[in-house]
Amino acid sequence: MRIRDLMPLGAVALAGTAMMGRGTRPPPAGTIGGKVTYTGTPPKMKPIDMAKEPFCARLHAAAPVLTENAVTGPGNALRWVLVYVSAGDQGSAPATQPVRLDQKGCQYIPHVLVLQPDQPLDIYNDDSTSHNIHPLARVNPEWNKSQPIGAPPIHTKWEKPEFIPVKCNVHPWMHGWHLVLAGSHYAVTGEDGAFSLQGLPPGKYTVTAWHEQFGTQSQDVTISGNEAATVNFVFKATPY
Amino acid sequence: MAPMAMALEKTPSGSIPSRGTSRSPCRSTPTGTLPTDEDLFNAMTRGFVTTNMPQWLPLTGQNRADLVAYIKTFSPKWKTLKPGAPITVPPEPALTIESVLRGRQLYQKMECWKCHGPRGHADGPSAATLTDNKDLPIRPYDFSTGSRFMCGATNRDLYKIFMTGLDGTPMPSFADDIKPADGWDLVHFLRTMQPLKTPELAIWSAWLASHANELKPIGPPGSGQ
Repeated sequence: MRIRDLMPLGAVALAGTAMMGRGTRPPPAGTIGGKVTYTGTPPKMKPIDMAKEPFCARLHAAAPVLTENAVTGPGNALRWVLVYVSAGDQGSAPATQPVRLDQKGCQYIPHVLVLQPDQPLDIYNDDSTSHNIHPLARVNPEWNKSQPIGAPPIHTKWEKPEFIPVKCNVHPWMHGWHLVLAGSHYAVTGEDGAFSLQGLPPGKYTVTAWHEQFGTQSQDVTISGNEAATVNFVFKATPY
Repeated sequence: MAPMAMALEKTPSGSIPSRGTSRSPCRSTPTGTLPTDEDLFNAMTRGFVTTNMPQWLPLTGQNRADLVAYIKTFSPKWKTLKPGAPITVPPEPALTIESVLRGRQLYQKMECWKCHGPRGHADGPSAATLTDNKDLPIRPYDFSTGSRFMCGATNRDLYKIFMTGLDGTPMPSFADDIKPADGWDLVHFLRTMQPLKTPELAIWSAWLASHANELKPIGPPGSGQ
């Protein structure tokens, strides 16, 4: 019952009303869903100048790529927020299916990658340019590998829970996150800011929302049966 | 959730001892592993050129060994992790012009020039934007200075630098990309970019005198640099 995908737009009912499950069968346990929004003025995402990497500049000639540290959507929605169970049932054992990170068009795709300890991580260079992948880990070992044009994927993993910023030193605008979580109850918000944590057995939960620029918030929720609880997070955005 | 809580606390980088705790930039071990005691001992003995860390030759060997044991108490990693196994460095083959030329091709293909520059002058397109792990500006090594490398001065030291990378800096490991034997080709070429009286520069200069126009320029394709 791991939920990694985002709920489709419109699937989340807001403002305290119960949320409908995806399928026709009743969910085996409770659900915590909601929306992440911001108040205030977030920084404007700026076009990235890739002129120093002609291969990537050409790829984005029509529409420059924007920075991703504070991506917003309609209705003050906040994207790239990790929402996870930080206390309470931690869900299933670490997943064994590989998680994929692409370096494509001199961007990390996805910008925010969530995985669990020891879950296989495959890193691809899809570009006709070299990259170096440099996770600035502190709890886990830091490493830094070159991945030239046409090099095979790097197969690796993280052993301990940690939020790890990742950068490419050759292309300083390339910045992403590897979020290693002990538990399997998590979701990352899309442009609609929505999230849904499903398959939660009855119990007390602390749900935490993390955004790379606006910080961390937590709320406590109790799930007693099959109900769908709504939890919304509002981050205070500052333009810098 | 104790480990998680620890991981989530954003520690200001200033509160963490900068080097020599769990990492020294100089390793004989693969990227992502701890250095050996000998690596730490050698780093302390050598100091770090271009930094405030001097050579600690005035200390006795025993002093330095004791210090290595002590600085390893600064990071909990030494309690839970073992140092990596040093990489295998094959014996250095005889120097030939073919080796230098193959090394030059590697310098192009691995895009070393992106930072170190087409002629090794630390002026590649990415050089000006490089930052260390604390987001402070850092310059790539400039071969035209002929100065010592961060982790030693010998061909073997040079080999280990690009095969293991330098922790805390932008310099990655190329161990997945350069075959062990080919690493020596790159060493031979890199030496030709230093204004030192090396056999590499001698053989290169002699060859260049009559073959300069046969070389394709190093740099982005079609750059004409």
